[in-house]
Amino acid sequence: MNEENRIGKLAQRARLETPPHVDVTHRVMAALRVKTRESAPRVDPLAWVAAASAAAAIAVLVAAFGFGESWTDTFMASRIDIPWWLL
Amino acid sequence: MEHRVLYSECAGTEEGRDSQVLPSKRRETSQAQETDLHDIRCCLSGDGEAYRRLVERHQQRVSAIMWRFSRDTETHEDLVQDVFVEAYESLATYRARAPFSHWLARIATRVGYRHWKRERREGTIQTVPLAEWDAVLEQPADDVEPAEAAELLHRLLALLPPRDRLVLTLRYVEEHSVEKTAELTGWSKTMVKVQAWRARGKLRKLFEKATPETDR
Repeated sequence: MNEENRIGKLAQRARLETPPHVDVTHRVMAALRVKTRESAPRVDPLAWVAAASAAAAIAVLVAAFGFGESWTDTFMASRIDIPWWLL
Repeated sequence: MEHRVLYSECAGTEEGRDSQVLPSKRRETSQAQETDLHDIRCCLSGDGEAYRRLVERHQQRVSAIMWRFSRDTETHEDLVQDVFVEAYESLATYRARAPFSHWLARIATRVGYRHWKRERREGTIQTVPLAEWDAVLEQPADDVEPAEAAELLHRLLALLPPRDRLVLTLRYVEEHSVEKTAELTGWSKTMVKVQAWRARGKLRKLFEKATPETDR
């Protein structure tokens, strides 16, 4: 094919071309910084709600534990009063 | 794991220098490859400056590859940047079985191919009318300036779908072997041969269509 020969010769010439000089170092580093920043974990507004909920839950747990302990103590005390053969 | 080896060598431990872990082939690599490996290790252990050094060292080679994919200086720079950003993101998958430049060339080919597909989808490809093609080639090929020849080829091959364009660019413009083309594209060697054969057929048909009956 005549065109193929022509293309081949042109390709030979094209290979002699010097590509343009580029310096993308700053651009690449800037793009990577932006990407890293975007992928870094951010504090979501809902995180505050979650933290408040957790604090409330801890308070309820502490109160429940105190109540449970006192209730158990009373129960144990009442158990002590009961003669062993009734249990 | 090799990746861990890369990491620990930068950190200065002896673990990474274990010759049982490092393939013997790597021990014979050139100084440049060793420097690349060292910078990759440093980069993986969080040294940002190491990647800057890698970019500085390889950007001209990547630029030469990307110049085949876009001859618009702005787009070309964007593509070179994309290659390095993509390489950074998958740096953890680099296994050092081949030189870093080969690995980068594969990424560059992928980025360039994607660019051609996008161009075609958006209809922003610049081609050369085949009627003009004959007139241009009336002059001997040796008289054509290299840049002009490259530009002509670029526009001519843009008439083809990206897949055909890619295989013809790699095989005939870049003069890569079937093996190298297969490595760069990720296709099998048979696939490269079949694709090149089909692409040449399509190109021939395009020329036949463009040539008036009387000229044949």
